[in-house]
Amino acid sequence: MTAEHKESAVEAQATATRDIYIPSERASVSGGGRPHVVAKDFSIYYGDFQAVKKVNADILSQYVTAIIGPSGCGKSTFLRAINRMNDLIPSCHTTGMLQFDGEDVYGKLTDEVLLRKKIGMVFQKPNPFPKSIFDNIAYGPRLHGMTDRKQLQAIVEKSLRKAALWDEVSDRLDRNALGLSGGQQQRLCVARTLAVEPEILLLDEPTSALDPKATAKIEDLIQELRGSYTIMIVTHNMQQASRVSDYTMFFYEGELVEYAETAQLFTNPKDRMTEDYITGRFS
Amino acid sequence: MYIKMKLFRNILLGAAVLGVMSAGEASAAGKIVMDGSTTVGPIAKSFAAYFTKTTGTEVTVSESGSGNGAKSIINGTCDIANMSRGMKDKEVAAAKAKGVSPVEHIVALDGLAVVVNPGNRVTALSKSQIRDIYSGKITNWSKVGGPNAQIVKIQRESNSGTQDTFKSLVMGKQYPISKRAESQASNGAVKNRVSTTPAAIGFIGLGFVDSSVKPLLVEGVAPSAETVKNGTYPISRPLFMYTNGQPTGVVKQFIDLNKTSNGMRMISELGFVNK
Amino acid sequence: MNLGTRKILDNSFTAVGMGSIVVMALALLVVLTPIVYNGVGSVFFTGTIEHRTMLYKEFGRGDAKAIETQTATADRYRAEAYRMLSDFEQEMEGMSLEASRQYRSKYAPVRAAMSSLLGPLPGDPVPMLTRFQYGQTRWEKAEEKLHNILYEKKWDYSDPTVMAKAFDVPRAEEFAGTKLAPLFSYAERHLADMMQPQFTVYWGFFTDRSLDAHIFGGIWPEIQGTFFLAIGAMLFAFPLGVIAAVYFTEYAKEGFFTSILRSANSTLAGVPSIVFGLFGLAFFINTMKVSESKSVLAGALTLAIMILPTIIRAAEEAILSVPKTYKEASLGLGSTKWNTIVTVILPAALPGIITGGIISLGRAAGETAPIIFTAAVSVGSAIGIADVFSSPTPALSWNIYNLASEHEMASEIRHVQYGMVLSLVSIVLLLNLSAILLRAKISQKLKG
Ligand SMILES: Nc1ncnc2c1ncn2[C@@H]1O[C@H](COP(=O)(O)OP(=O)(O)O)[C@@H](O)[C@H]1O
Ligand SMILES: [Mg+2]
Repeated sequence: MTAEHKESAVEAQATATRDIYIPSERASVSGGGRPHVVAKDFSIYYGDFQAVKKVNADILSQYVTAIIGPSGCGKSTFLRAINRMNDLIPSCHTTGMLQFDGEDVYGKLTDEVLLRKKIGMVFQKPNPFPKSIFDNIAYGPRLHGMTDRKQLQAIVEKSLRKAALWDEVSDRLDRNALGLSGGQQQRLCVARTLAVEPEILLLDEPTSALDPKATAKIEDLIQELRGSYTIMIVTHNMQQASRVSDYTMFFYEGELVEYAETAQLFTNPKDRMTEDYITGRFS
Repeated sequence: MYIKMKLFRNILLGAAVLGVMSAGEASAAGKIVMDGSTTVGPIAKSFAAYFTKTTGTEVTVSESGSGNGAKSIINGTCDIANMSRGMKDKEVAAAKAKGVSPVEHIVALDGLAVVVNPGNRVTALSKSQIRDIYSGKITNWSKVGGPNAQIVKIQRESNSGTQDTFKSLVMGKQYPISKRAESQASNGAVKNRVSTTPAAIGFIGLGFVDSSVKPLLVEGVAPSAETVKNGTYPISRPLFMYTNGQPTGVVKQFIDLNKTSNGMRMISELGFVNK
Repeated sequence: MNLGTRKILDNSFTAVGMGSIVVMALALLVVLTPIVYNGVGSVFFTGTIEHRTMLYKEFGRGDAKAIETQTATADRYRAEAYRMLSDFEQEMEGMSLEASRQYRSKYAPVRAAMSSLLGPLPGDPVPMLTRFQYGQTRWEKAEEKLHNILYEKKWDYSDPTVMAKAFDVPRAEEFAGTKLAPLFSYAERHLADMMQPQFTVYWGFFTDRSLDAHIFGGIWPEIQGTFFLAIGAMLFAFPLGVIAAVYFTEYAKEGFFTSILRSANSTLAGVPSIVFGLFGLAFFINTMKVSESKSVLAGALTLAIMILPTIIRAAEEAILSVPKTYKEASLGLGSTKWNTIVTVILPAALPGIITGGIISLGRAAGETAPIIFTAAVSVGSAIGIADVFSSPTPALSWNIYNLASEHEMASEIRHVQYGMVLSLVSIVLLLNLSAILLRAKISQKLKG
């Protein structure tokens, strides 16, 4: 990082809220486009350390929103805040407002278990349970009370088909999921999440542990799912962001620096720092 | 979860099988629980086997020492406390405080044989010599007519009735046993130690004496059934069984074994002395 | 560091490592060999006709016909020895008072040794104690007794300054010229004829009750008691320990209270087992009065307290080693914390938890001190499962100690003691082995 950048970062921190573009409501083909997740002056702390700083943004339903930024800038922290996965870290707390479908995510009365059912998450490293493929997919539905074997079978097939994995595993559903390849495991995780029929899909660098071929499959899968789910994907692969997303957020040191339609952000960034980052002038 | 259930089921199954295998041996004809002295142990165990065989009543015998026997009867956790010494005033008081009234039954007499290794030429000691040895005044066998060797003194633990008897009959209040005396947990352990240590001296119940150790004449008298019975052997004592209150039923029947001819024969076959 | 020194260091480390493994293996061998050798001797040994007679009379087992013929043969040879004894007894009657007194005192040990070898001599009353009703049941013991008949052990006290040395004097010399003299060579020549030795496999050692305080018979009550105590302890300690571990790892907030609990747990793991024994007596029996006397229940509870810290620690470690991602995945699907623990975390931690559990089971089976005051007795029959709440029981660990140190005839029944040791070691090894297998099986299942 050059001295100049450092200065501007310090300056940015001082000015606190930035005047950034917030996409306005926009009807999509499938009727989405309303603000699904809304952050208002939303900050996240680890103890005293502020990892995400006063973010203001609307995330539109049924579009794909990418989050990019250098490592450690708070992408994961922000993403995990949306389904309250950060609750697992005792020192983590938030200020400001985060809403999901108009409901306060961090409200006192909010049931985080219900919330997580509606907001599915796929992690950086594939993490299937050490159970059979079938039991992995059926885990969520069973959790929410489905016991009928036929129904379960149907939902397992449907989810695996949606995740483009059915053809590869339909003949060995009773095998342990840990025996699948990394790419298959990640698609299994997507299928497992889809099986509980969430509204939002949070993907935290879902392809960083995969080879190019498997990566391409996951990207195809995102294309397939776009329009049916609100998708947020953290990535530090800018090509990926520009390939799969409609909107892109650029984070830097905990701040949302720029948020725009993907094409615009990559071709005509407003902020100097965004430009430096997407042209690879700093790591 | 599934695997765990299976494990539990297997454990339960195993326990059940064990239970069925042993169910046949369980008895319904009442039971007697005994605790206490290792010295009285052989009598208690032999009586127990005989009693179970003849009456069907289960008898269990623990050998944890006279002191623990007293505690057990005070706490009401045994039917009969075996003791190789009488109850102390403190113990009687503790019993009274708990509403237990210990009743003493003498079942046999026992001599405390003072034993040395057979390799030791010493054959007799006076009581005062024994006292001087244990209090640490005499430390070498040559002082009492033996070879030139440091005496290894073996005593029992504080919990032992044999130890108490030895202290009161030989040492007396003003001569504490030297701190260098080594403690062993049972008659058998003392015998073992003496039989394997040339310069050792120890004291054990008459019933435990065998050819691996040499019992000494004390004040010129050899320990034997006769000398204990006629009172000429100076270190002898009664062996007790204590009950809470006057015994009744099977417990009484059990205690009274020592007055039957079969009981008396068992006592003498074991090397103890009938009263 | 240059290549040369690095190689030397590497090689010497390998050598030291191999060396310590060899030392360990040797130590294990030194410990296990006598245990196995002597322990196996309690089941496989050369038994005499006395053993077969005893089994037949006391347990109703054996081939009556064969025993009868063998007894007849043995009795023929014994009759000759008995005749020599009675001839000599008559001869003594006719001796001078002085000579007769001298011979009598020498004769008493011979007679005692004969009776110990062959059982009650003709004319003797039948002893009350089973141990004296039979002669030697094992051939090697019979040979030992023969030695006592043939030789008198004397001590050479000639040098007053040193401890005497023992030496053997043949009794044949001492009785030379009397009618007893031929007995010694006769007994030596015809020992086998009188005892009818035969290779014996006594499986009943594991399944028979003990007879006359372990002088004869088997160790079933001890084996069963050990199982009852160990399994009973597990029934309490395992669920409690796992729940406590779940609390520590998933629910407890790091703070003063938790750290106190944690260090209390570690301290408890280091407390000597006798302390648990005394605690068990004071708390479970005298205070809580879980049973009127010592009982399997009280012992199992005491053992449970003793192994609890180990189980908690093992379970805690197993739970902590479950990848955090499993938990995230489950929670992310809308699972509750409790459900996540039960359906994802515990199954994944199961191999570790079970290993800890079974190692504790082995420890519970092997400990003596905690059960001395709470459950164990020297003699007692095998108890039924319904009696575990009220009855004490013999158990291997305690009875080994009892036979090793307290038993009045300890040196005569070493084989029983070793048989118990071998059984206990086998049980513990078996448990540990099953832990390893179970763990491997479950791990396999989890890995796919
Ligand atoms: N559990 C945690 N405790 C404290 N600090 C954390 C924790 N997790 C992340 N951080 C810090 O918060 C910042 C943002 O981290 P993260 O959101 O993981 O970054 P990104 O995903 O963009 O690489 C980093 O400075 C990181 O060190
Ligand atoms: Mg990240």
